[in-house]
Amino acid sequence: MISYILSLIIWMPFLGALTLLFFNERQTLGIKIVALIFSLIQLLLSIHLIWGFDLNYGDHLLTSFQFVEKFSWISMSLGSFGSFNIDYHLGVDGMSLWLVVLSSLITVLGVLASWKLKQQVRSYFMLYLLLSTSIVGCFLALDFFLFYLFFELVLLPMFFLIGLWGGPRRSYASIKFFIYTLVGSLLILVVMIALYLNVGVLDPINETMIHSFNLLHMMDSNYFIEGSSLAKDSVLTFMGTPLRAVAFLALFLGFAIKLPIVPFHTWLPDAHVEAATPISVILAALLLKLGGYGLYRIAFSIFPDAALHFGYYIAICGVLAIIYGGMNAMAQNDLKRMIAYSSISHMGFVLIGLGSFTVEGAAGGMFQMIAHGFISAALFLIVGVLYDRTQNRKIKNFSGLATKLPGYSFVVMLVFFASLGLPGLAGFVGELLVLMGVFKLSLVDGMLPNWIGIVAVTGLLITAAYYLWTIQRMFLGKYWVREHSWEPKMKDLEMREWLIFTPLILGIIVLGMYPKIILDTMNHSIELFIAHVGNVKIKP
Amino acid sequence: MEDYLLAFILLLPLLGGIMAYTFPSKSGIISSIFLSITTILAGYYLSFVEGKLWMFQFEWLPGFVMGFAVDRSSAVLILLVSLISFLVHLFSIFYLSGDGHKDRYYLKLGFFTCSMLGLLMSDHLILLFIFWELVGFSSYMLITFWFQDVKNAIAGRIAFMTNRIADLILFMGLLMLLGSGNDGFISSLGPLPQNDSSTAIGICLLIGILGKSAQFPFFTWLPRAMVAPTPVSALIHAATMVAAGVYLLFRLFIVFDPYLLDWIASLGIITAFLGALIAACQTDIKVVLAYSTISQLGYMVMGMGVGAYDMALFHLWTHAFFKAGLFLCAGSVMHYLSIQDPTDSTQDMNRMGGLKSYLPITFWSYLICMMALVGLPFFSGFISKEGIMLGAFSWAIQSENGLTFALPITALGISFITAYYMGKQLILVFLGSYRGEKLLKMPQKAWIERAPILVLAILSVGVFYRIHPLFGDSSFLEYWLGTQIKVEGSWEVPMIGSSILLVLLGLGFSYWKYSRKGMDKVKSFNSSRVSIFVRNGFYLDKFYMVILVPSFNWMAFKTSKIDTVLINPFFNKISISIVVLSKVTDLFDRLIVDGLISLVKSVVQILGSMFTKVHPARVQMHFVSAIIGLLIILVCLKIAL
Repeated sequence: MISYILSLIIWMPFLGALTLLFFNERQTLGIKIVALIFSLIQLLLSIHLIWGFDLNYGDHLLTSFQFVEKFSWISMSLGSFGSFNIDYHLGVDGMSLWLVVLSSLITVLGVLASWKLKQQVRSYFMLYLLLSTSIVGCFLALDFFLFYLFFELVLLPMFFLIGLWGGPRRSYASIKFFIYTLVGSLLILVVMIALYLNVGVLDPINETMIHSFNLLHMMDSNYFIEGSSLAKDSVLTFMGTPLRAVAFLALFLGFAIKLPIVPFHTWLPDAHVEAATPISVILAALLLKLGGYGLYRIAFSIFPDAALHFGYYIAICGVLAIIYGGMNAMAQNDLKRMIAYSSISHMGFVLIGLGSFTVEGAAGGMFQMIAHGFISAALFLIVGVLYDRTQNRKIKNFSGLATKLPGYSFVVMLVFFASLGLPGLAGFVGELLVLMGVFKLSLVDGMLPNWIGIVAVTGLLITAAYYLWTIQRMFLGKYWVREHSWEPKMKDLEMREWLIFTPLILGIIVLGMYPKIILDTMNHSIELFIAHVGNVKIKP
Repeated sequence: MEDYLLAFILLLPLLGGIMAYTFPSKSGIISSIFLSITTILAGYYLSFVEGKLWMFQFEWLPGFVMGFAVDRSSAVLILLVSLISFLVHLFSIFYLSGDGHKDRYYLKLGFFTCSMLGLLMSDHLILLFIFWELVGFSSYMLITFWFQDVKNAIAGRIAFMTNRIADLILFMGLLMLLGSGNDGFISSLGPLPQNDSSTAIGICLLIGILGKSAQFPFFTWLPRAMVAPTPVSALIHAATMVAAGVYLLFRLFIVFDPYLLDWIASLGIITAFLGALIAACQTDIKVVLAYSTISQLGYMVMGMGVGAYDMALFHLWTHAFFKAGLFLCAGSVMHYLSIQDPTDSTQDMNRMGGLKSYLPITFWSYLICMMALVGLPFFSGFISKEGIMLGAFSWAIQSENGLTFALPITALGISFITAYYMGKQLILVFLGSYRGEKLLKMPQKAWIERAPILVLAILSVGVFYRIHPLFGDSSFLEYWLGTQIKVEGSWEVPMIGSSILLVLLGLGFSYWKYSRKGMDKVKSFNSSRVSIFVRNGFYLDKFYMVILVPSFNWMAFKTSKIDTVLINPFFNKISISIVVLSKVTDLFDRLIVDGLISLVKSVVQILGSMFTKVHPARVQMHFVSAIIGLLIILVCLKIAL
């Protein structure tokens, strides 16, 4: 019997968006409640998913997907070109499971964080729910075409959410965001079409090729048509580089722009800063993870040999992002901008983990994404609290907030220290695992030199420097705010804000103290992933 | 049964802190009660740890097992930490009676005690590192306890960052150790194979130890940390946390190769010497003690380096008591003075004096702790210090290099300086007459003030550790540490004799300098250039704060310019050039393509209008011209054919 739970999870917010059509613009409370209810149902469904999840399902990456739904969606015969197939193909494994849970949790918190929105409420929430559907869809799709569809669908609501409800430079930021991501998507599109033409099975009846966008087929080298340009033994080159390597690089770049990597990161600070608080939360907590997930699921899984070849350079990209992002964060005087750069810095660990080709490294990168989902969401909400009260985010405009806002400062301390990697909180575990992977000399021919790990550790120091400096400047010392008119508004967290922060804080603490809770579900899939990716030796 | 006991010992302090936070009105009492239970349990526990390890293992990450274990040396330190923490809790009730945020204070203190105990109990390097960081974090929280003063906030940040630098290097060392195939359990550590990576690992571990134990060149954070409430300084920055480095050195002793141990010993003695020298020039009552702590930690590190690790651990124990006692005495003095004049919270010893008659119990406790620190017979410090020095001497004899004798001889010299600065402090604070404005006599009534100080002073008396004041080997510690504390060698008698002589000389020198001569002379020394240079810690702190930190900030600022000056304009230029290109194509479209078409159009139009003139609109004319045309074509065809 096929379970439809994955479809339910994906389409639940979409259903909510459709329901909103029955409301008119003035029924703001009703609109918000509908959005909350539908996202809550999605959250409950994805938590339910954890219960039914089998920890040791499958013995190969290609057979390890659970709750699979597969229907033929578009299928037509193209005569001598074979037949054209797009499936509606969903499945979940240990890597995507927690990203789905994270997405639905963040969606609920985002609805709560937008509770005070006043303008164009209905269109905002419709776009917001559409965004949620497309993000979760990306994490669950097993058909490249379906994935790409969702991947592109993320851009549309995001563009409007930044461009219509953002800050003063919102149109610049949203266009910049759109163009950067679109360039990445186009690279992915090209490779997708190339893969489609290269992968297929021979129909035994009428001897024609059945092409499909099935990701599982693309990961399996047996499905590549013999002699095709992207087959494993292909000798075709493009400007001296093997075609498979070129295709991998295109995919890598496409996803890495989203992650982001230096120097293609400048869309991120602008988009994060100009977006409204809940949208920045989604951007940082979920959208960056799309890039990381794409690398795991698609770029690395389809072209493991090319990935192995470039592993070293990918890790260097990661180190560059860590140091560069950290240095930039240090120099910012806008709190939100600082946090945006810190995201760049933290995502560098994902690349190092991937580049290490060890179980520890890959699990660490994945854990880092989940942990960063919690931490960065909390960080942007922290900025939102201050911005709600004063419409200002400049670090130098505040001092000694701990005196006046003790509850808020407690949250800030906890989240900042989690982000700088204090052991016992979520940020530490991912970094520990990644670095363990890097320093594990004996595995996979000792691919990464030690200096990668050493420089990455230096990045942790920079992180500590800017967070502590910010705490000192904004929260310690004598209480002072720049404008006198802000004084009456400087009140501690209210009930709704505590409600948003509590799950995040709990998550940060639980993940930090007992990381096994998610690593156990993830581990089997990561092992299969590394077995699939790491087993390929570079061609002589 | 034992595992539950250990879990209780670990978690009770934290629970006490949480309870104290929940019931703020009785916070101090509640957390002290919890700590007293911890102490009793720890003492009870010690009685049945018979050299064996107690283990509790758990899988923290998939396939990654960590564990707690306690042997006799860590059990002794667990008792030490919980006992001093209990006394400090008691003293804090008195010291912070006027503060409005006691609840938060006890929560932080409980958290610290819990993490420190966890550090002592952990048997896995990563677990130890976790608690190692948590200890540093709680130290940061307590240094910034009075955060309204931005000076304290800066001090906390610098303390944390300095520790963090060393900690991350330690972390790297641990990861490399794990990466080289070690399972990370401390109890199963063995010597590393000799190669480059083992040297790198050793250096990384060493730097981590130097940072936490405030050794050269990292020691600048400890004097800054003195802005914390004084009981905190006693617990964290004298007795326990700073000793964690020495403890780790003891645990990892087997990993270091002999070559590195020599380095450790040298760095220890350098720190001991510098610390003592700087302490001798200080005027702040707490900062003297802070540098003295640095110096004593240097002794311990040297002791580890020369292989007298059991004596170094013993010195950790004795030092914890007498230094915590000294800090609490300083706290008692400061509290007394600040009650007299709340606006003036001076820590300057030049403005004290003659407090002996005002604070008799503090004075006598101070005297005992001080004698233990300088190392006079009958006091605890004597036993441990002589042990370390004897170890250093026998190490120097065994090594071939004659230069190694510099270490024990410097150590002897340091006891002179130590005696000098402690004697100076005693004279400036307690003897003579009060140099400030008038001072009222108030009896020392509160037992929560007197009891902790007295207990610490009593525990600094030598008879508890060894019956014979000068020599011998029968001691409690032998039982506790499970090792023979006995140093062989004919050096014993002359060395002990000269050491006592130097201590007495140092005390006499300080008496001659500060008691016989007037204060004017002293003032002039204090403002001499050399004195200022030494007092500022050889400007090492200045070097970090004026050169290193700003240059790092400058680098960060410059890096951020790459984004705004290079990357953004680059991509903006690309997009602008695309726009320009599209404008050009647009122009091309309008001028050339459109132009061609309109050219064709206008040519057609012109031709058309010309032909309209040729063909006036008359049907007959059309008909005629059509026939003429037809005839011409026919004629042409005819000719052609």
